[in-house]
Amino acid sequence: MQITESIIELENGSLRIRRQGAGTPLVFLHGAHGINTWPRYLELLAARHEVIVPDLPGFGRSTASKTTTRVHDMARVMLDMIDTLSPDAAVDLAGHCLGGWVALEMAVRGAPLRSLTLLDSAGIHVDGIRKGDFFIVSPGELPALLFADPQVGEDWLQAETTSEFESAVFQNRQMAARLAWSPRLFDPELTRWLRRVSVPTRVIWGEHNQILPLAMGEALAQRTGASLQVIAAAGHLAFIEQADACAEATLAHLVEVSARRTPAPNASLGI
Amino acid sequence: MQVFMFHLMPYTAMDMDYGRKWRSSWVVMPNTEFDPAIGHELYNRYLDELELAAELGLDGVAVNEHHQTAYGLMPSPVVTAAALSRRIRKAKIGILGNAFCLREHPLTLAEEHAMIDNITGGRLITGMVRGIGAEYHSMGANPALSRERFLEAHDLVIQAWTRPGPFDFHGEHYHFEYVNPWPRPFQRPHPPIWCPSTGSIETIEWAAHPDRKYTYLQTYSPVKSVATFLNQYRQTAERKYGYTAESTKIGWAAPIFIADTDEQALAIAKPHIESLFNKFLNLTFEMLFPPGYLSPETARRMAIHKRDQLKGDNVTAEHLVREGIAIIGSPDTVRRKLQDAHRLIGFQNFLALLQFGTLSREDTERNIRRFCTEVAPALQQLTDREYAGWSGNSGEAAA
Repeated sequence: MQITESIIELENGSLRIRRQGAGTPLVFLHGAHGINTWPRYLELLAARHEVIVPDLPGFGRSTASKTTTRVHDMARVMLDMIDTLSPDAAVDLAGHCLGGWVALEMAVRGAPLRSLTLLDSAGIHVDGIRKGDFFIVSPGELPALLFADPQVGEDWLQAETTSEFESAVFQNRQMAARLAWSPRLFDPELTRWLRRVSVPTRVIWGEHNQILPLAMGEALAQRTGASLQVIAAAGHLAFIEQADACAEATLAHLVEVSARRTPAPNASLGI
Repeated sequence: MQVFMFHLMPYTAMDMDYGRKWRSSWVVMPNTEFDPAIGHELYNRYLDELELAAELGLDGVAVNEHHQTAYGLMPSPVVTAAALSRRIRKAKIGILGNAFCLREHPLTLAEEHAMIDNITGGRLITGMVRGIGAEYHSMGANPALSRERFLEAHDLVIQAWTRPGPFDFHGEHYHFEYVNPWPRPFQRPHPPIWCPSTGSIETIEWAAHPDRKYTYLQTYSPVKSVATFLNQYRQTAERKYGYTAESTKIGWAAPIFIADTDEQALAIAKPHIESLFNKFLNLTFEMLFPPGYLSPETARRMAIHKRDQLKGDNVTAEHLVREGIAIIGSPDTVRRKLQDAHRLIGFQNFLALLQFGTLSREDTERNIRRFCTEVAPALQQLTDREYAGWSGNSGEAAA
């Protein structure tokens, strides 16, 4: 299926947006490492939806102005983007890691969402759970830290780091640090807002996530009233490592949400 | 020339085999490796060493800041400087440097420096640095904000020292309703500001700016790079800003060891200077350059060129001497090398690191005595008259 690419101009800079598929819009927000390739997970979602993948401000080929330097700012720009791309219809929103955190910040601000899918998502802190540190390890150590199967990680990281994209790796790391260095990958305030997440939410988590251990996924599911799907044989990038299982869990969630939304034929008769 | 003794205060009892267990002597080496009984001994020994150098006629002593590492035991150089400030009665005391931008409240440091400046009657030199990358891991400060916070903390501190208070300050990172520090610094308009660096064009351009004219100090570098960067300061002043930089605005810091002969000096210093570079200064690329500490483009270039150099566990004393990173030899050799370097580069400040790595109390004391009596007096005589002058060409040409 064809992937189309466009640049849209917003108040705070320009966004690169890639799209694939047709159907109701599903926005996917990438994690702290950015996303350059188009992984199988997105292909699978695009079989049913129009999958929309922006580079977050300051990542990949999107620019960041001085006013887009915090996760709140990312959320604001993404809300602007949704207003621009889908002014009339609510969207399905999915986010991984940092992108999940941005999605949560959007959700607590009353974004027009049909559903929320959080994949190994950042954003919260859980007492007693020590996170992994992808900022301090060498590139050679990343695959084993990010993936249950280091070989899968090595292949993916290599595919992501094309020569053309090489400088983006450093740019992405800088932007990720700017947003999430301290507090590391969370905002203490967000937890107090999570009860405002009213959209149907599913949390999907790699069983062997060493960056954000599974206990964080459990806590996030509990705090947002979400269902939790644990993905076996997967680490922090479960949607790369177990694309089929993650896509299935995501799509099943979206189907459930649609079913809940669509009134039964005779239910509308009453009013 | 002003001659100083510089101290890092390393934890000499560090297990030199730590590499089997931890990737670095920074950030991740457990502090259970630190024995306070040894700490007590070391702090007092090191303070004695600095006091001795001052007694023996050096122009000043200098200390610096590092966090959570065996490399240097001065997370707060203000404490060390304060301890020295009542014992050293004439010499200057340099805090080279303090990372104001690592603090959420740079004003606390502005206050503390002003206190020391008052206690010493104006003998404080304030070093302003960003801190090396590892500090950002250790202190939770955001490396991607490091440069902007450095600039803003600087502006805040200078205003706090020079503008009548109280006034309010609202930057991007720091906000104060009442900036009104008591005491004000003793020196007018404020203590001299020095910028130590291992070589950064950005820092040089900032330090040399006519509004600042801060002293730039080159550290840990081959003498050839010292020439390049210090000439860069002169060139920046001349070409970019249109004024002639004074030689008092540039300086060099280097490890020094002196014994009767060159061979003896190398034999004694070798294991200790090698421990400094291979064991104490063993930082990974990711620790030294956390994301955002350098611009993405510089980080990319560094990753290509520097990553392999950092793997080194194999710097030799001979290499350090050959490159002029460390100056080791008889009093004549050391004196001549420094005089030669001065003739070429013309720096009017020199900082001698007279204790390094595992160098013992006895060897350090002998080194201090010989440097202060057999080398420093000759250096202190050096003026611009002995400097060959700046050719106006790039640093490489002069070196």
